[in-house]
Amino acid sequence: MAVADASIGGDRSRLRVNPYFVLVAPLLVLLLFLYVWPMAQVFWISISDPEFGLQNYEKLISNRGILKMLHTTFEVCAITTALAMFFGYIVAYAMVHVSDRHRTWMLLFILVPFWVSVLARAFSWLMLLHDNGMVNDLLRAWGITDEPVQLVRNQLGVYIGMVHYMIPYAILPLYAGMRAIDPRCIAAARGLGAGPFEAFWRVFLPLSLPGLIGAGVLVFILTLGFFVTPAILGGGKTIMVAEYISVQILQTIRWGIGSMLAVTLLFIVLALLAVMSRAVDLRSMFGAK
Amino acid sequence: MNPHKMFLEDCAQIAAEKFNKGRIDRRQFVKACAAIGMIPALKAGKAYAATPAQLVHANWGGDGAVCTGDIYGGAFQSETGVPVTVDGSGPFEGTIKQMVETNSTIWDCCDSDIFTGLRLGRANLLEPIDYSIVNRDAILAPFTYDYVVLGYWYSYALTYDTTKVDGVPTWADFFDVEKIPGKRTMWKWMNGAPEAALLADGVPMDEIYPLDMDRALEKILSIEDHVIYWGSGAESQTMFLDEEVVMGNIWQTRATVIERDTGGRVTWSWDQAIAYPAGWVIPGGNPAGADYANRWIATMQDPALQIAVMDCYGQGPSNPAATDMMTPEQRRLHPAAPENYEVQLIADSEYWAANYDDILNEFLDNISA
Repeated sequence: MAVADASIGGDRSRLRVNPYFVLVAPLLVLLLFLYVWPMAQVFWISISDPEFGLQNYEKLISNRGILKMLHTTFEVCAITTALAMFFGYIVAYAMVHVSDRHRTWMLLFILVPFWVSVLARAFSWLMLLHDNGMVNDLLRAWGITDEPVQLVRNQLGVYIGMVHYMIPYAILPLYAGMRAIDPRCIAAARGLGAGPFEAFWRVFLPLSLPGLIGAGVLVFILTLGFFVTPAILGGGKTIMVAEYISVQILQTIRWGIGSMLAVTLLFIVLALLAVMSRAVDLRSMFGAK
Repeated sequence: MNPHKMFLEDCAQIAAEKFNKGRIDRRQFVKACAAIGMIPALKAGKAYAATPAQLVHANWGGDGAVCTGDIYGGAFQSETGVPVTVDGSGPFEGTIKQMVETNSTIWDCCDSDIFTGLRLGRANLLEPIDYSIVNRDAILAPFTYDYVVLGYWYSYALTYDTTKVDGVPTWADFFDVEKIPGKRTMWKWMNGAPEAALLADGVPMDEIYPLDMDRALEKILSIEDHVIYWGSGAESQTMFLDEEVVMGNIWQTRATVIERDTGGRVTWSWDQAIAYPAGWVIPGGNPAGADYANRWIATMQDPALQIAVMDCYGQGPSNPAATDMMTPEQRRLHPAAPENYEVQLIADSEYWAANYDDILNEFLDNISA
């Protein structure tokens, strides 16, 4: 877009303020007041409550409970991201190759659940999958199992709920990336004697890699903030960083620790975005180009 | 009424409230009224100025919001003319602290555990209770405090499915998965769980506090794979209705509802249940003024109203006079009826006020995977 292009443009545009900047300025001021200022306050609490210093940050290495919780968070997020990317890639790949009519239907089936509230989805999974839910009833009726299979209120339930939630976030950027791959490359590979799998493995997959990395980082960042899904589907035993922060803010009133974790989370996300920016063009990733 | 007039009246009301709290003096108040042409407000004089537009009570929502608003709120409005709004978004300790510290209190009165009230009071976040308005005699001894009024009782009671459990189980049975197979549920936010674990381990009732947390956690983790945790009262109810659990350490208010909904398939025992005293606090700088908030609390002390609220959603009345007015069936459901009260463990609010944050964190660290 004009604004983005101009701001990274040649020397001439650096010399004077781009007139389009005026259009963006009110938003920047608004963000400064509503976002940067409160974030600064959160940061301040993290180094001043209960007393000034870095003792809250020291807990990141010394407090067993916090370490365990962070470990759980990263483990759950990494596995969720891997699964969501795997399934998302398959669907996106199919979407690129089916007819327009099928693609419309596929998009519909991806977007409709995407728009359903996270709470409604978590409770739906619970109703389907609990010990006497529909799935377990069917398994027993068909004689596949005698005892109920525990599908929710444990770690498995957390993965089911989170992967299901994240798949559309994986599909959409992957699909956009794959659309940009010139199908003639694959045709050329086939023409030069590559089998279908080799053409995919040596041509299509490498070409889709930037999209894969970009979507992966995006999905991972979003999973870091999960709260409701693990709380409902995890049977109370999967406590991730977002819920832990909420406990420290609302229940135990340890605002110093809560805001320290919030700040830490923010820096992790920024670091991930920095990594991502090396692999993909962030502006095209977020639709600014 | 047209919107402009409503706005002007609102301005007048804000000025009246400020005047009332002494933030502006009489001359400024008169000026403010004159500036917006609200002479009638001035003429109405002090009576208008002293009456808040509404009183906002914060609790945990659900039936509690409806019952509090209809029963206590209805009575208060007919007494004082002030309507009561119930905000069910949850008066968390952290939310109250944030509101009071930033001078943005929007609640006049909040539901609170006694131990939370003690914590908030010691942090200077509450208005002191005015015992010239609130009735000391309506509070069971020795539960009278400077910053929190005992308002109701609730218990963590051993609730069980009679088709899966023979006889009346004890906490020892709750932690014995060999004897009674099946899943159990406890509160994710800890209260009631360590006490039950220690009782199961044979610690006498009068030696539970201070809690031996190592021992309690060991007991809880010994049945780790058989426990699912409930996070909200509604969730504990669903677990029993869906037959996901055979036993639960849940609020008796929910147990009462489950018993009714299952036609007695699920019931609970008062024996060694853990009773928590709870009540009401007034957050600092409440909008309707401390006077009206205290009057509101005094209204809620009425024994007949407390019984009506108990019928509505299970809260056990705090006013000892209520017990004598109850039918035998109501007494059976009431945590503080003497016959139920004496077989329960009474939570130590002072202990929790001092140790709640540490123990909650320790508990969560251990139960989470």
